[in-house]
Amino acid sequence: MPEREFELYLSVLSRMLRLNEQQKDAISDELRDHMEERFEELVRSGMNRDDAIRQALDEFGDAAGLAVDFTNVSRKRIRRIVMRSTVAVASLVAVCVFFLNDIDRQQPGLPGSGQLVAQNFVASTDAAPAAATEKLNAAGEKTASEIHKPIDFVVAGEVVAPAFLQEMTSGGFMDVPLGEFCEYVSALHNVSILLDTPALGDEGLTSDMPVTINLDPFPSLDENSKDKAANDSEKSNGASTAVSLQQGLDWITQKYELSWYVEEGIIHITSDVAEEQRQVSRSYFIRQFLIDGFTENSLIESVQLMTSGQWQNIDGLGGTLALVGDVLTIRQNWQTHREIELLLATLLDRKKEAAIQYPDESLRVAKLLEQRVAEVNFTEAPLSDLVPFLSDVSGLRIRIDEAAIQEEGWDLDTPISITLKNQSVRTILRLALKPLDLQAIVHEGCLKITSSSRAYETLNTVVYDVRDLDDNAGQLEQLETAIEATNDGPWMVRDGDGGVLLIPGGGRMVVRQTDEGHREIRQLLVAQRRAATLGKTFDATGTELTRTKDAIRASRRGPIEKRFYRVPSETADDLLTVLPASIDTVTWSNAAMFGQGTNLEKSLGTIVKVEVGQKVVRLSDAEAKNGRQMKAAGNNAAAVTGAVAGANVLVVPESVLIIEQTPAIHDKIEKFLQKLDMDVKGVRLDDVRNGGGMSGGGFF
Amino acid sequence: MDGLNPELMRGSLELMVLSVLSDGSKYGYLIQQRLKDASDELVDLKAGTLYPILHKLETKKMVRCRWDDSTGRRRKWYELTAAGKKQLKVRVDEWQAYVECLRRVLGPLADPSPMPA
Repeated sequence: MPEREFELYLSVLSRMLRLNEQQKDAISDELRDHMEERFEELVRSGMNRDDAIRQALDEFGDAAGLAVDFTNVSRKRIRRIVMRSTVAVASLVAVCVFFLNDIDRQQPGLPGSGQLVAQNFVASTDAAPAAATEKLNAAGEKTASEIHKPIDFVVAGEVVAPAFLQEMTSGGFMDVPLGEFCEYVSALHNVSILLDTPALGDEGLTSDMPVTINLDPFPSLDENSKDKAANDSEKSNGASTAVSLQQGLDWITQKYELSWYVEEGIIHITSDVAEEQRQVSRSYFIRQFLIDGFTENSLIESVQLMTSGQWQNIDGLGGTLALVGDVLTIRQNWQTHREIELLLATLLDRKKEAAIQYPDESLRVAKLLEQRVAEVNFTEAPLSDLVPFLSDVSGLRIRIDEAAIQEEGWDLDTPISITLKNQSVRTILRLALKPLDLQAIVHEGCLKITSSSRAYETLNTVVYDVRDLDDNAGQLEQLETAIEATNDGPWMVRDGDGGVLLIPGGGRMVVRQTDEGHREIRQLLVAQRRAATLGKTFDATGTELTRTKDAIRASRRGPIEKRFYRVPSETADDLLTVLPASIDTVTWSNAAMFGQGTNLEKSLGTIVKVEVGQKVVRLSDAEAKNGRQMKAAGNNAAAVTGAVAGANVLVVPESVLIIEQTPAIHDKIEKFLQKLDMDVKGVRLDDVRNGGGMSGGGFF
Repeated sequence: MDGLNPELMRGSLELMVLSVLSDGSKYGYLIQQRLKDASDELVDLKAGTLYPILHKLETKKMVRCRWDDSTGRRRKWYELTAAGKKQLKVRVDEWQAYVECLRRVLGPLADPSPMPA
């Protein structure tokens, strides 16, 4: 078998595919099968070995081109996976958190009615940033009626989420036929539920398919259940959370790759393909958004890129939209409309940070994950032991994505070893799951253990309010650049597919990213805000930059100040690098040190150059001869001399250096420039506005 | 694609692949061979063209796949989904309408009796 040549081709191809390992392997296996069969046939027909190998490979074309083709196809595939896994949803019942333990195979205990009060948990965790704590408190105090305020921007189309979907549900189902599950839920909530059997049949499913799901509150209030089984992970701490009807529907449809929609008050359960193809039109009145700082385009862009539906203009198939005046009419499937409505509601909201789906639950789970566990000691213990243990000590409902785990070749009995003292639940899970290529992610408002490759494809949309970081001088754009550059992503712009970041206006930043990606963004924002308020520099994990700390403190006499230095253009380029390199080096941002104007280290100095025009200097004959003025205007001014109106003039292109530094450093800069024979003063913005400051007047 | 204008063929590749799958599941190599045989070797779809098409159809849920390890190496089999069958029917109708239309427009130019060269 000419494996070497084929493997070489496949490994080159693999390296160029922007796909996860599993997808790469699948493509390699498929193409290898083809190559080998083709090779065998060519040899049978009398061709010699080497020619057969070459011929078989030639038919695949160059690996780079093929990689692009495959990756382009998969970009759509990823969107689809996202759709399946995020079409969860909506609304939330304010003070409750829902956790589902999918591995709970026991018939669960009695439904409980307890509620989890956010503050208890806030008090019990100590590792989270202060900002998040405030946020959580605020969220915890919100009442259901506030969250379910009528959404008045929908002007036409059926209500997406009728009130009955918020009702609490309950029930534990183990291998119950889907049809019976529907009958039970229908009776419990007094609503009609229809199974779309033809659509299910197309996917090879029937109403007899057995389903297993636990919709009972967690932790259960039933004390006895605690001893029933190892994987019946409960923690009776007096707090329990219930599951809403729509959440139950989301969980069960997702688990079995189904979907659902509501039409005229009837719940339909159908295949995800059928739901996707069933499009409905709704109109959204968007004037409030325009008043609030969004533009029509930024809003449309957000709707299309931040939800999971497919679109004609982007994907070649899917929904369409049209804007007439202030009315945006969208034709999309029901589940995408649900996401759009949540996105729009979240955009109008003034929360610091809110996932469009399960905002409060997501934050709370993130919070509970930071709780520390005194000791964890598992040696070759099955996954199904570790999970209930962590669930038990943290009060977190942990779902296990069994399909994903099986894809990686593991199951609930896969042994895990982990021994740690006083670490957070998050760290324990990360370290325990890493060797198996699994990850615990916050998704749909609860913790889910899934494969790293699925985690990488599971994107959530979160709206961040970043008005406080907007200095109207491009800082938000800097923030965007910084996030896309420092965050592993994946990012659509950088990696070909994956997350998207938009700053649509109104001081909002909307990001579609993985759970881990959002965690990094959250840390970066915390660092930014701390830096802004404390005037100190923190890196993303909150540690002070010790290298620069003392020097910064020594040089600091007052806050950072922006001053404008008008200099000849030729000199300006040199000064861009010379100033940070010569004057108190450590007080400049790294970006400034490398000759770039942008930086995120708010408490460090920056320097940027702006070309502003030309200065015409009249020269006396004598001056023209000895060029003294020229020298005064800049050591190496590349000036154009000429005669205008009979006088000798010197035309000097000018630039302005905009330098942000402390007054002490500004003084040093002026002295430094004087040494260079340049009589240039730094002018403050106020001086410019008042028309004073610079000798010669008229700064701009 | 010797013999046929690739520009003309491009729009029909998906249709051809779907049609080959209409009588049962097949793997990539088999699809390629079937196309070649059915077209008297006029349609010789390169592997580098075929697989991206198959993956695209899979993404669009027109076909679904399953892996078979019984032959010693992993083999990926494709079959039409209900959506794929529906799509195939629609595309065949479209194609027939198009051919009919073209024939009317071309009139005598497209006379079936071969013109003397």
